[in-house]
Amino acid sequence: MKVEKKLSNLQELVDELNIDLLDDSIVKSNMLPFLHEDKLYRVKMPTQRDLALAREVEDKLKIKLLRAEDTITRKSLMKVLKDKQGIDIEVLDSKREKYATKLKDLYLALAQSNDKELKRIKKFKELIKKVKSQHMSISVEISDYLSPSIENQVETAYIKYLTSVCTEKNIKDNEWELVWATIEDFENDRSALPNMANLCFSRLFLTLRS
Amino acid sequence: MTDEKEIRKLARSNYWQNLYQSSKDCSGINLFENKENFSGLQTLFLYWLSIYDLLFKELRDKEWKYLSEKVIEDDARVDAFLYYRGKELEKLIRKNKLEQEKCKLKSKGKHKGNVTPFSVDMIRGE
Repeated sequence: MKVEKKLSNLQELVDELNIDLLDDSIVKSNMLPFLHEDKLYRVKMPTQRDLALAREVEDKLKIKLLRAEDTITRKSLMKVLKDKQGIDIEVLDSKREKYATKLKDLYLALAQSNDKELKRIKKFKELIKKVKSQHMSISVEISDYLSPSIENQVETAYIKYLTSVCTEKNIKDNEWELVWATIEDFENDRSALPNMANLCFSRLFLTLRS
Repeated sequence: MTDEKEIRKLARSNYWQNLYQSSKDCSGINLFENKENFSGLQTLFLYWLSIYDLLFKELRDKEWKYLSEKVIEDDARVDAFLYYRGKELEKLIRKNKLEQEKCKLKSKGKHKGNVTPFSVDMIRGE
């Protein structure tokens, strides 16, 4: 067997091993461990009871915010932004839609490329990356503008509540205990831990709710 | 590496594809430590396991001109292919529907033209 062939076979084997030895800890269980200040923590999936209690928290907050005078719904906020600052969310949304359409056209072009058309593949992949980033940046812009709305605050409170009841600290070996006894303890924690736990929980939970 | 990128790499790996196949054939094989209350990451992973399973099958069956191993290894090309595949299947469904409607119309036309003494009597009777 020629050296090139041997090397190629070896490379194939190494590639295969690399793929098969990937770290699958993020999917193996419904928990996600993380380190904070050299201590081990984990976020776990909420139980049905946790979810029901989180919905209660969410409903109560929604009623409170709707009754308050200095709060605003998403729809009203869009109107205020348009009238007072000239920021039209609907226009931004249609721009975002245009990027989505452009992305679909690029997908069709990339999909109908043969493996040998390297230049064409590279060109379309770069264009897709660019359009995706434009699409993402408008989405972030819209989300930033609408963040003070009641709907957004309620959603944030829901995730915060679930984070507070789903974050555990490792005591020893396989022993874990809740980090915060109440949601108030979570909110009063001035360290970086609540934010970190929030990020990890959002990662684990993803968009299951929708 | 983002979670989705990592999850897709895992989902198309030989190890997980084989395990996924085995779990479909044999109910005793569990993919995860937990049997219920799947996390968002796990749900996303299951979605990609089934997508890559389908793509590998269609690659073996040579169903698509533009599907190759290199496409499957490349996230952007897989996204593009899945969109293209969806569009092509939509076209096929529309074409089949149209043909079915044409067939129905033809058979109706044939029926109308083929008037028997019995049907004339029936019309007179009305």
